Amino acid sequence: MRVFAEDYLAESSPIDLLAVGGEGELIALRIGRDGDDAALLTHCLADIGWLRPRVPDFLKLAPTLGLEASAEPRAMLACPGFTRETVTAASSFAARTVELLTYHGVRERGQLRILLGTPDSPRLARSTKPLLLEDPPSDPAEEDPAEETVPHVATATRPQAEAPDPEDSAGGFRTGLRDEDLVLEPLEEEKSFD
Amino acid sequence: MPRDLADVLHYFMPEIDADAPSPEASVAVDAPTDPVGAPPPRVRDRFTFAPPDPVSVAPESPPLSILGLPIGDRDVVRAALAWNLSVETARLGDAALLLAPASTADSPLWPEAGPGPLGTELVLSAATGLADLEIHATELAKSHAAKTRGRGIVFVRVPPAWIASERASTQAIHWWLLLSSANRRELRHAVDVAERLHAADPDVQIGATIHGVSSISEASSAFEHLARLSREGFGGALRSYGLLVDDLHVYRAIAAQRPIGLAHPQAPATRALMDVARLLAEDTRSRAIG
Repeated sequence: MRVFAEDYLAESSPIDLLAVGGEGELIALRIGRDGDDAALLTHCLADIGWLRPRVPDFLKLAPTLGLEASAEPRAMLACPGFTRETVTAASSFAARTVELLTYHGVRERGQLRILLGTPDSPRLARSTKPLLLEDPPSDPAEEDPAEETVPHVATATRPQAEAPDPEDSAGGFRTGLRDEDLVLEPLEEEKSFD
Repeated sequence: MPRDLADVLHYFMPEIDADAPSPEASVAVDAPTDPVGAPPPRVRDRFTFAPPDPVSVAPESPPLSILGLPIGDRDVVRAALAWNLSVETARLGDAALLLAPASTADSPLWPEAGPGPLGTELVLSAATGLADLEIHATELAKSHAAKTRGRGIVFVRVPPAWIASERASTQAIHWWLLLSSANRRELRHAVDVAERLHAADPDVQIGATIHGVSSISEASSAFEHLARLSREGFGGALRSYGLLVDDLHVYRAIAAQRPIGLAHPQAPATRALMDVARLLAEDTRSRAIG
C-alpha cells in the first residue's frame, strides 16, 4: 500500500490517508480513537461511495499512481479497539471492503513504535501477525524526514499534537516533502520581490 | 456540518442523551403504536425535523486562529502564495479567510473580494492601521468559528509599514508567518520584521516559510540561518513552516487568477503549498485543544 495523500476532503470530511493498494485499488484509511469505530465505519462506507465514481478522475490527474480503473475502492479503519457490532457490520460486506485494523503505541527506549493488528475479538487489540511501525531513528541532520507510509500512520496515531510552546518553538526545519516532490520545471520568467 | 455521526445522534435519540441540548425541531414518528411490536424508541421509520441552529444548539466554538502575514503592496510572489495557502487550507476542510486592507481591492495581485474557491473568502477591511485591522480580524475569527467548530485560519495581510509604525498594537495577532526567500538580504529583512514583532509582543509566535528554493536542504539551511539570526539578534525563536517553490505554475496561476492547487494539482508548488497548509492546520488544532 502506498499513501499518496493526507487529509483528502471527501464527501463531508477529510480522509486521513489516501493510498493505492497492490491491485491498483484506491484505499481510504481512517484513523480513530477508542470509541470512534462505529462512527468512522460510516465515514468509511461513504468514502468508498464517494471514491468509486472518481477513479477515472484520479487516473487522469495522476496517471503514474498505478491505479487500476476496474479495481473497486476499499477502506481501512484503524482504531485501538472495535465493538462486536462494528466487527459484525464490517464483515457483512464483501471481503476487504472495509478492513479493520487495531493499533497500539509502544514507546521503547524513547522511540515510538506502533503495533498494527486485526481484531480477533471485540475490544481485543492483538494480532497473530502484528505489523510494526517505528519512528525513524532521529537524525541530527534531518529534523523531520518526509515519508508517506509507515511514519505517517505513526504520526496520526499519536495523541493530538501538543500546543506549540512559545518558549521552545524553534524545533528546527519542518517539512513533509521529499526532494523528489520538488522536481522543478525551469523558470521562464524573472521574479521580483517588493 | 458535524464530522461524526455521534455528534448528531441526539437529534434522533434525544431520550438517551440526557446531556444533549434539546434540538430546535419537531419530530414526527411513524413507528407502529403496538407496544409489543413497537421498535425501540431509537428506531424511527420516518421523521422530519428542522435543521438545528448551530449557533443556538451547539456549544460555543473557539474562534478561528488569526495568522498575520507581512506582505507589501507590490509583493507579487507573497500575495500569490498567501492566497494559495488559504485555498489549500480550505481543501483540508478548515475555514479559510483572507483579510486585507481595502487598498488591496485596487491591486491586480489579489483576487476579487468575496467568496472564492473551495469556500475561501477575501474580506476587505476599511482599517487604516494595524489596531483596526486586528479588531476586524478578531470579529471574523469569532463569527466564522461555528461553521467549522473553530478549525480554520484568518489570514491577515498586513502592510509591513503598519508593523513598523505601531509598536504597541492591540495584540490581537499573536501568530505571524514570514515568507522569505533564501536570499541573505531577504533573510535579514525577515529578521528585522521578526524583531519588530517581538518588541511589540514578547509572547508572539513567529513562523517562517522559505520560498523560491530548489531543494529541501537549501530551505533547511536558509531557515536555520534565519533562526540563528533571530536568536542572536533579539533572543526570539522561530517555528518552521516548511518551504514553498516558485515554479512556473506559480506565475501562470497568478496570471490566470486561478489557485495553483486547482489549475495544477500535481505541480511541486501545489505539493509544497499543501504541506505548509498542513503544518499550519496542525498547529491551529493544537491551539484549539490547548
